[in-house]
Amino acid sequence: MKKPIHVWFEEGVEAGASVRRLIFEGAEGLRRPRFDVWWRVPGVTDLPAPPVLDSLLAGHLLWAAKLGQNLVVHGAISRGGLFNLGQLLEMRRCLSPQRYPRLIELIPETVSSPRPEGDLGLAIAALSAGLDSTFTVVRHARRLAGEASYRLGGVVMVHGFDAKLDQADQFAAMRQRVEPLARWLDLPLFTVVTNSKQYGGNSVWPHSAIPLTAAALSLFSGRCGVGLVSGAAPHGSPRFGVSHPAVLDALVSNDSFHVVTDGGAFGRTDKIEALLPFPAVIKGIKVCWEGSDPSRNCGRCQKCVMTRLNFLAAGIPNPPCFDSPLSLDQIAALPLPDLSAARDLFRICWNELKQRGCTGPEVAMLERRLRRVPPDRSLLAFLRKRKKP
Amino acid sequence: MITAAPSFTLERAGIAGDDAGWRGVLHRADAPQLSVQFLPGDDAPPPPDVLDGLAIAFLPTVMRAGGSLHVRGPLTRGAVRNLSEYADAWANWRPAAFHRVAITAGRVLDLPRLPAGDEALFAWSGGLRSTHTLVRHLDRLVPGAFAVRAAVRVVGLDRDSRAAAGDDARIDRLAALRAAGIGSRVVRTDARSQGLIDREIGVLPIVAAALHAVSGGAATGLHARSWHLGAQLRFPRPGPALADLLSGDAFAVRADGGSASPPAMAEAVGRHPALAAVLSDCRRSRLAPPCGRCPECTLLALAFTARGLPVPQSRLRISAPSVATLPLRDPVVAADATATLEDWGGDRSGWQKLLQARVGLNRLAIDVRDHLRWAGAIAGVLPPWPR
Repeated sequence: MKKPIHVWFEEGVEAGASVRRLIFEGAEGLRRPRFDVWWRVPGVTDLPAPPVLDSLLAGHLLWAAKLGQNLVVHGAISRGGLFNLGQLLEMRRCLSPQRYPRLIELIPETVSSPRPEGDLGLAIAALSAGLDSTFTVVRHARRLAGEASYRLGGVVMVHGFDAKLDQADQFAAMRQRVEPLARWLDLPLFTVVTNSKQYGGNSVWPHSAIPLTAAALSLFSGRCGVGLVSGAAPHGSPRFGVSHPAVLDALVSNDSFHVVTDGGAFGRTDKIEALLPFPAVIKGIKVCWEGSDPSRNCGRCQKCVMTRLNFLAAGIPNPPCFDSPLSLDQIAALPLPDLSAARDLFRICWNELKQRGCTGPEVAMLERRLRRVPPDRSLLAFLRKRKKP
Repeated sequence: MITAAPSFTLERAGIAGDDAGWRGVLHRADAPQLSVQFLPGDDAPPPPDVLDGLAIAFLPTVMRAGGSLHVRGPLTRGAVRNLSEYADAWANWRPAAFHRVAITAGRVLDLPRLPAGDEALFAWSGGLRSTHTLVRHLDRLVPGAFAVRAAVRVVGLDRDSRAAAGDDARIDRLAALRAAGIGSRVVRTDARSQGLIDREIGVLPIVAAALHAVSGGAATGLHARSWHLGAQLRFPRPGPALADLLSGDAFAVRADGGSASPPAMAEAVGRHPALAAVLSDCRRSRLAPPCGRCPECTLLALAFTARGLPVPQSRLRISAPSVATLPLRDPVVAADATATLEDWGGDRSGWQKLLQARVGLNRLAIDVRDHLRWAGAIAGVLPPWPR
């Protein structure tokens, strides 16, 4: 039986920024037995302390599960949060038993049922400048969802995810892309700087993506009762894939902070069409996470090519957020080793192109590429694997 | 000719006779009105003032027709959001069958959302999944386990009209709950006879509405996930995987479980012999005694056998034809059969080998089909796949 990991919480104000820390001790296989995961909110010094640690911990719970070590929390967890996190562990283990070999225990010092403190009608939204989060923020700020819209208390960009901590200039450029959007919507744009992905989060990425985003949003839970994150794959996707289904995202909620995944009922082309009346917003969209410069769309990676196909489906062959036109070679080079890798492309691009009756050389090339995608368990792949020493 | 989307109006109505209960009526200008009632018995708490639960009960009907739903009365804002998302999700999942619904209410209430609380109501059908959910909380086998305020049994969901046999079985079940020290509540509904149980979505909205009807100050109602999560790894999965959208701000209906294999569930339930003795997942009717022949009965018996436990009811039995003909095309059955096989901890008996052969053959058939589709797509005979 492995020894547990112990976690403590600290907070304070340093150099004009609210700082919160989780101090981990006892994690196996690391060079340092004790390390801090921290979140800083520059320019904000009056954030109320979180009543419970559930959402801050969620991102690191999966990492502890991967290590197979129980997590002893020297602080309070809410009853609802404890139930949710237990479900999250069970479900992730059920779906990825190789990655999470043991069902670990979360052992809190205290279990409490705090009344939510923030404004329950107010939401804080994550904004990465991507298509999904841009749509979510515009949808609610402009009340396109009618009575179902949330009032937004601000939007949060995280430095430490797409832009690494040593890429301050690139992060500044990323932030510049979304500043016009925040100004237009009259919303405060907060930056959260964190090493949470670097410590623990990376090892279980992308499973940790929403839990870590929720952790950053939960810094504002004293003001806002809801954290809005954007759905990636629509509800109609036949499998979960690598994205984050709403059913799992919701499990990083707790009794005082509710995490809501928004936009799962819309395809990416639907989202582009909803944003077409706002050209300045379209110009600021940044979807790429593979290119060398995180502040720009490389235009060549799978995500960029897929997004350009979404724009094509919406009748925009050359969207202003990309620097160069889409080429047929880029479509032909899409890396699709099996059907699992292709499912998102089917649902998010191909079906939307077909539904809108799109034709042309790009559509024909995509069809040719998709026709060659082998099954998940192809005989050829099996034989190739057997040949390897 | 352009047909305008229909407009539905929901209102609360009185219950006929001396019964205490909750009744809603759905009006539509060009069609007969529909109604549904939930009768929880004399000792039940009064139904809630907010109409979140009644809106849930009618939502699938409105989703089939499309259009708008106006509630004459109060809805919580959380319910407006959740039910809108629920309709959107199903419309996205099956666009040919379901439509988005614009939901409005006479009053939209901004209530403080309640913390989960220490106690919960548990929807209980008597099947393996719902009994497992009940006992794993009762035995504190789950982090943040809820105390069981009451097991809520909803009567009126099954197609089977053999009321006498059903009533007998139900009475046994209530005795089983008492033997396990669990309080119970029976809610009778006419949802099936009113045609409110959607053939694709199933009974969950009605069960959720019944939980709302008897919430009586509780903050949380739990229901068991109706399929093993492994089912979503198959194509197609049984339905959209949604967060707990049948909730409002006054009462949350939460899904529980979905990760445990049938043998693991059988082992947990087996610690409560009184509950194990009345288990039934029978396709024919959960109210009647199990038939012992349908796939659900076979899987239930296999779950106990896989753990080396005696099958708890004499009517449940395994036969070679019933294992060999398990309909693994159904992702729920396939996921349960596979999870049972992977978690087989009892004797490596002939039943295990037979199940292994059945699952292996199914896997082979899928591989062959996929390769034929691939070849057909490359040759231009078939469209690109999956969908």
